[in-house]
Formats: sequence, C-alpha cells, structure tokens
Amino acid sequence: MCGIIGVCSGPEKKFSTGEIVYKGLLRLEYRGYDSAGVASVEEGTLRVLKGKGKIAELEKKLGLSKVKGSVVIGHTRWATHGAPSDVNAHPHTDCTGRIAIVHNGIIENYRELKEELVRKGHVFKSETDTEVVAHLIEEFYRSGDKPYEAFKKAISMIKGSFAILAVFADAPSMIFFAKKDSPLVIGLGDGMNLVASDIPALLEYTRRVITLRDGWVGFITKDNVFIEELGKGPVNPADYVRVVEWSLESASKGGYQHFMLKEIHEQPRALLDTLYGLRSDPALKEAAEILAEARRIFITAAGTSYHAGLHFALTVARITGVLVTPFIASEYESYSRVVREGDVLIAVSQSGETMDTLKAARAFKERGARLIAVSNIIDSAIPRESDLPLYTRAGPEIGVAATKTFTTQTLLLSLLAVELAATRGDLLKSEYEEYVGELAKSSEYASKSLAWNEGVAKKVSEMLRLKHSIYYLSRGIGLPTAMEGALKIKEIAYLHAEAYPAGESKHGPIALVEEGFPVVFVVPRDQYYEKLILGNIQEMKARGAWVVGVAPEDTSLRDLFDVFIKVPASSWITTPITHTPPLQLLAYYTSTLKGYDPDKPRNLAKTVTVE
Amino acid sequence: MLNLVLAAGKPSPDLGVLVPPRSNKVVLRVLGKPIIYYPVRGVYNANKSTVHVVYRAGEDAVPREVSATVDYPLEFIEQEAGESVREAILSAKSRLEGDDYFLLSFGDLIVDPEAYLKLVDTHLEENPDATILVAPIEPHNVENYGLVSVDENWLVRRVLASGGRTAEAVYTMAGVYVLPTRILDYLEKGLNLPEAIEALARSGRVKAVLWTGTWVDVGYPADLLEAVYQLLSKVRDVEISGKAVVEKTAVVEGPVIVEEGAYIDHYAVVKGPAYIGRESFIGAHSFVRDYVDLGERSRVGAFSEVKYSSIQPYCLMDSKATILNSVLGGESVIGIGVTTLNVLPSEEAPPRLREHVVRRGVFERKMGAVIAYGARVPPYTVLSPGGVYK
Repeated sequence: MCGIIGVCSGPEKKFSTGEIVYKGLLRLEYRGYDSAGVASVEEGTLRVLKGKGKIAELEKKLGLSKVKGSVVIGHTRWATHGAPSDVNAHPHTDCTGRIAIVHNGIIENYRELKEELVRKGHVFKSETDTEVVAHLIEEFYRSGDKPYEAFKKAISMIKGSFAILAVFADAPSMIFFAKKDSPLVIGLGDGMNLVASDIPALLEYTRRVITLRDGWVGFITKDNVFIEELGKGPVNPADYVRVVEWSLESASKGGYQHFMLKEIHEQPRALLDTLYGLRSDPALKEAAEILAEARRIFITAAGTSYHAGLHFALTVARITGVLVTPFIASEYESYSRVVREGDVLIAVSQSGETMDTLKAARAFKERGARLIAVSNIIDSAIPRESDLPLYTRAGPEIGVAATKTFTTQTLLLSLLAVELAATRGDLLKSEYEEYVGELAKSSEYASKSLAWNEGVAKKVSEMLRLKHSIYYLSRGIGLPTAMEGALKIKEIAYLHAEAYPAGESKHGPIALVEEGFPVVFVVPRDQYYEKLILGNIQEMKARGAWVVGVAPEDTSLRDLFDVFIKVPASSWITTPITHTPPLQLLAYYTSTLKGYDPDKPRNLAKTVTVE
Repeated sequence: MLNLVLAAGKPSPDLGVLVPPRSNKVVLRVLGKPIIYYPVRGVYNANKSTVHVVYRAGEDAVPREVSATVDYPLEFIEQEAGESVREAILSAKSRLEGDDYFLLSFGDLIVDPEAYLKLVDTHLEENPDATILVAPIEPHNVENYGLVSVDENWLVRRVLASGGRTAEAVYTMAGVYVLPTRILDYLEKGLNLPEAIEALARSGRVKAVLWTGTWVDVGYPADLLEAVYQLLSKVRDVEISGKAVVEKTAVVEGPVIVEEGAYIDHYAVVKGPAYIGRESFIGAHSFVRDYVDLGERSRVGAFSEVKYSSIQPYCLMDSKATILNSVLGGESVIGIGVTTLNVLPSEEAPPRLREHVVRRGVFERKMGAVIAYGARVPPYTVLSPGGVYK
C-alpha cells in the first residue's frame, strides 16, 4: 500500500505546489513510509527528488516542499516486494527523463512488458514493476502520439491493480491519471485541482471531491478536469462531485474511530497476506535449516514482540524438544556473554529499528552467532544486519499499541517452529500437515474471534473501567497471550494488569484477590491445561474474583466463568491468533470508555529507538 | 444516488402501545427528536440529494413530523399495501429507476452520522455491487437480527435470515445499504431483502462496512432506553438554554442538556446524564438522574424520582412518583405516588435489554414499566417490573 498525490496550481496561490504535495504526503504517511519522492514540471523541465527514508527526513535532506512547478506529483511507499532504496523510490522516469510517474498497486504483467521494452532499447533503472509504465508511455509518445493518447494506450496495456499519476515535461500544466482497483480521488480546489489516493491529502484545500471509478482515466489542469471511461467515452465530472463531511482526522482512519480499532479489524487480511507471503518465500525453510543446525537457539525482542518470541520458544519446546532461550532485549548482556559460534539468535522487532533489540543482535553477532530477523518493515536496520530476514506482511501499523503485528509475528514464528520440527524430523507427516493446515486457517480464526466478541468486549469493558487492577492468567502455550492481553490494557487503558502462570497464584499473588477482583483466564485448547486451569479458576472464584474466560467454544469450563469470551476451537498452536483479538478489543473499549485516546498512549512511542 | 428512508414498519406489540393513533414508531422521541430524524440526517449528510421517505397510508404524522424537524429536500411516498421491507422498497420503484444506486436506511435506526459517511465513501471508493453497514452483535441477540458472514476482505459470504444460528464470523445487518437499482428485479421476483442481497453477493461483490459506534434499531421498548443511554453517554457538559429557568436552590450536575422553556423548581436535583426537553417541568424536591430523557412539555411532579427512563412528550406525572427504568408514553397521566418496580425475576429478560454494572462485579438487567400512549395510571399504583400498562 502506498500513497500518491498530484497538484496543478497557479503561482498566485497561498501554498506552493511543492508545499501542497509535501503536506499531502505527510497526511498519507499512514499508507506507507519507507521511501518517498516528488516530481515537478517547471518551464519545460522535469525534476525528480526521491530517496529512502521517512518523509520528514527526506524533507530535511532533499527539500521536497521547496520544489516549484505548475504541476507536482508525489509518492510515499510501503515496500512489499523489492527493498526500499533511493532507486526503487517513486517517481520513476522514462529513458529521456521527460516523463515521470507515481503508482500505487501491482502491475501483474510487468515482466512481459519489460522484456519487450528492453528489446526495443529501453534502459531500466529500478527493480520495480512501476517503471515499466513510464517506458511504455515513452514508447507511444516517441512514436508520435500526444501525451494523453500515449498515456491512455499505455494504461490499456497494463494488467493488475493501479492508481497512476503521470506528468510530462512537454505538458507542463497537466497531470494524467488512471485508476483500477486502487483508490484515487480528485479534489476540486479554488484555482487548483488535486488528485490523491486518499481524501486526507486533499482536505486542507478542498472538500469538493470526485471519487474515481475503476477503468477511469483522464487528466487535471488547474482549472479543468477531464475524465473518460476507458473504451467507453467521456464522463461528466459534475455528475460525480460530492462534498466530504469527514474531519481530517477521521478520514485517514477509514471511518474507524481510532487506528487501533482499524488495525485490530485488519488482522484477518494481515494474517492472510503474511501467510501467502511466507508460502512464496524460500526464506522460511532456509531459516528452519539454519535453526536445525544451530548449537543453541536464542530469541530476543521487546514488549509485544517479546511475547511472540515466548510463543515461539514454547512451541519449539513442545514439538521438537529443543530448548529455545527467550530473553528481553534490554537484558541481552546477561546472555551475550555465553554466546559462541554456532549459536543462532532470532531478533523480533515490528519496526526493525528497536534499539534494545538491535544492540542485542549486534552483541550476538560480534560473538559469532548467526542472526535471523523477524520484522514488518522490509530492509530496516535489524533485517539489514541479519543473515536472513523474515517478514510479516501486516502493512503499516500506526496505533502505538501493537495489534496486527503481534498476531502476524506469532503466525510467522509458529510456521517457523513447525518447519524446524519438520527439518529435524521431529514430526510425522500427518502432524506437520495438521499444524500447517491449522495455521493456514489463522485468518478465518481471527475473523470469527473478532466477530463473536466485539459486543462482549464492550460489555466487559463497562466493568473493567471501574476496576484498578486485573490479573491475566494462563498456563503453558496460553501464557504469552495472557501477557500480551495484560500489556495491552496497561498501555492504553492505564489499568494495572499483571500476567503470570496461573499455578503461581497460591505462591503470593492471590493475596490481592477480593470480592469483584477481575481475573481473565486465557484457556488454550488443550485438555491437559484445561484441567489444570480448572483448579486455578476455582481458587479465584472461592475468593470472590470476577472471572472472565477466554476459551475455545467447546471448553468444559464455560459454566465457571462470569463472562465467557468464546473463541474458535482450533489447535493449541494458534492460541495467540484465536485468543488475542478479544483481549485487544477489551483493552480498546476499556480505554475509550475511560475517555482515553488508545492511538496515543501517554509516555509511549511506536518505535523505541533509544536504550 | 437517490436517498430512501423506510418509515412504514410495524412495531412490536409492546412498542406499539407507545405509538399515537395515525402515527408510526419512527416518530417516538429520543432526546427531543423523532427517531426518523436520525436516519434522515444520516443519509442526507452522506449523500446530498432529496430524501425520499416511504410511509404507510394513513400515518400522516410521519410526513408532518419529518417536515417539521429537518429542512432538507424531502419527498414522501405513500405505501398503500404490504407490510414487508420488500414491498416498501418496491413502492418507491418509479423514483428509484433511472439511477444506478440508492442509499437505503430503515427509519427506526439511531446510528452515528459518520456511519452513513463511511458506508457511502467505501462504496464510492471500492465500487462493489452493493455495500451494507454491519454492526457487532451481542451473543444473546444473535437470534434477533439478520446476519451476514464476511471474509477477510469484508466481502459478504452469506446472508442469514433473522433467527439463524451459525458458527461463522457474523455481524448483524445494520439497516443501512447502498444498493444497485437492479436489486428491484430480485425483489419483484419475490425475494426478500436479505435474499436479494445474498443473490448479489453470490453473483458479485457485496462489501460489508463495520460500524462499532452508536447503533440502535428501535423495535422494542428496551431499545428506546438503549438509544437514550447511548446518546446521553456522548454528552460531556452541562448545556442549559438561556431560555430555561433553573431555580436558585436546584442542582443541575452534568452532563445534562436543558432545553428552551424548561423549568426546574427549587431543591430539585438533576444529576446527569439527562436530557430535559423543551417547556418541560421538574417539580420541587424531585430527583432526576442517570440517563433520563424527559420529553417536550412533560411534567415531573414534586418529590418524584426518575431514573433511566424515556418519557415521551406531554406526559404528566403527579407528585411522589417513582419511575425507574421505564418508558412512559406521550400524553400519559401518572397518578400521585405511582411506583414502578424494576428488579426483574432472574429468568425474565425483555428482548435486547442492556445489562448494567450495578455494583462492583455484578451485571444486572432492570426494567420498569411500559406505559401506553394516553394511558392513565391511578394514584399509588405499584407497577410490576417488565409489565405493559395500557
């Protein structure tokens, strides 16, 4: 997912075209932020500024907002294939440097088109699918078509999903656009027109918009909009103008009240994307081979990622009998001293930039350990320094509290554990197939878990908002999920929460339990643990605790719970995927009911780049 | 895209007792506005074109109330026959033809205006065959609503008629839709709306848009209480009209809205969240607290207590009444000392009644009385919990 914007304006306007595009890119940063760039046309000259990094950083380095021109287009990228780099950043240009394009989407037939164009002498600079469009337009333009005709012909040849903007040095007042399966909106301003992949980029300048339909192409100038349906003829833009009532803030959240809620509900999609990504990536098997040969395996991370790491360690212990040592990244010095060549460290970080995890990874590498990175951001610091990076495909996560990145991390790490067991020969073929089959259903499980529990979570949050302290208890494979539930409610609802193995209650913590004390039990689908947890629930109930059970639909414990949060009956290995979404909802609704903003928890930052 | 609001539905028997003659449930009041104000505002905000309102022949209060409440362009369509949603939509057929899509809302919904915007924006951006609003459902309500199951892209997989049970990921259909005009063909063939939507989902893409904010489908008296609860939960401050009178010794503690012409007598305590309607009266020493919606020109007699109740316009309550978790019909007269009991026997649960946290660690359902439009309750009557008084 990427963000694109273009503006046509006269020199007399309050904001320069460069400023408008720069600000628009900042508004679109939630769609991606690993590289960015702009292209402007001024007095017949096309100028491109682009690079890897966040938009604000690039502004300092390149001065994106300083570009001048009658037309400017911009792009902010979220790499899914091909590393973020200066060369791969958009805009992309043709051979002559007189045509520039930005694109959001995927060109499915780019390989065939590229081969053909290379045969005709075109020279490609990047690894992206997008660049092919610039050369295709050039090809038609060179053969005598006018800019718009050349653009249209090129668009009619590409397959896939796209929102594309193009500018020509020889057409200095026009931005050409095309849309199919990727969003694109025109904004009708006062003496200027804009086009962008999403409404937030436009709202500062206009509320009058035209939402483009699939198959529409056309161009804007500062005073006019021309639209046609490819192959069918012109469309009257006036028939499609509407006034946007959204506030700037809500527009970027896709109508959800908070990014966190949006991201919670994106989990089924994110899990499926991660699964498909891993299936087509040989890195997972490579990683399993590295681990199978390892002398010892360590896994490190911070915060939510640490809980994913803990899930990995418990899963590996259960299906392979190999001991994985999990540790919190900031405590790396206690572990790095014992590291030798032949050891392997898995470093898990959503951003790939977490300083504690990075330092742990460097310390291990210095002592000869091999490094496998797990991250959501391609080519970020930790993956870059690793021997082998593995990626979740959760898309950008804006809410500070991790949600979809946790469940996708646990999916990736569970698959890695299963591959490791298979590589070592610890699993029967049928067992391997069963685990992989269950993990392949992650998206469906998360969907059910969310759909079944939104109402229940709202109800439970009405009780939790009156409480000052809460326990999250589990045993075995459920423990990392309980820890994640406790962390979420601490982070965003400012409710003191503690997670520990339920067997520990009698060794101290149960002293705090009194009438109405809330205890959330995370019950994995496992008869052995269910039996153990039964006793733990009873000891809490005997002391008047208010017990919420997050348990499989076929649990035998449901009558013991004051509130039953039903999750799909699946294998124990998917526990974080089935049980975490309702815990996220619980934290979210408790936070909003208490009047807090879950997207901006106090004292916390999304990426922790300090020790 | 044309706007269509359906306001010809029949109420459940318990809700029906609250509806005045020649009227419809959509004109029952919530926070000073008829229910239908909320969907009409929603569709118009999201799609600035004439709002077509289908109402039942003979229920002239509907066009009258709607016209008096909003100044949007309106057109009224009289439905002469049939009681189903299918027939209501078909009664607007001549208006719908000629447009590709229409924005449809049921008239008995209270939904945030942003939900309509989200629905229309999603539809325009993603261009599916149809787009429908869905809402989360509480487990005990699964059998009360039409449900849809969705895939990971929020495309509708299956539509289940009301009362269906399923193990799939399901949400309730929230009564707001962007539908293609060609759906009329399915309806004309006899399919009901859920079946027609399922037919669209089978042959194309029907997008579901999740709304997790305020959503109340007013079908039962408890829904009126829920609507009051949800809307008043959003009020944050004390807003007292400059044309209201609050006597010096009265206490008004927020969040409370006091409308123009309201009068709050000495020593009365209004402890919000509460809505005190236009020209209403709260007598001396009365206690109005926690989610009370006091309708226009209603009267709370001296020394009364009112809690968590919806009081429709022109209700006259004599002194020393105790009204708890109740719905009082318009123009009803509540005699001196009337008491509504509200603790339900544990096995009773009126449809869709919210459980409230009543003390640490305990949820309870409470329901007082439903008093019919124009009913007269004799002095010192004690009304049993969950009962309907006609």
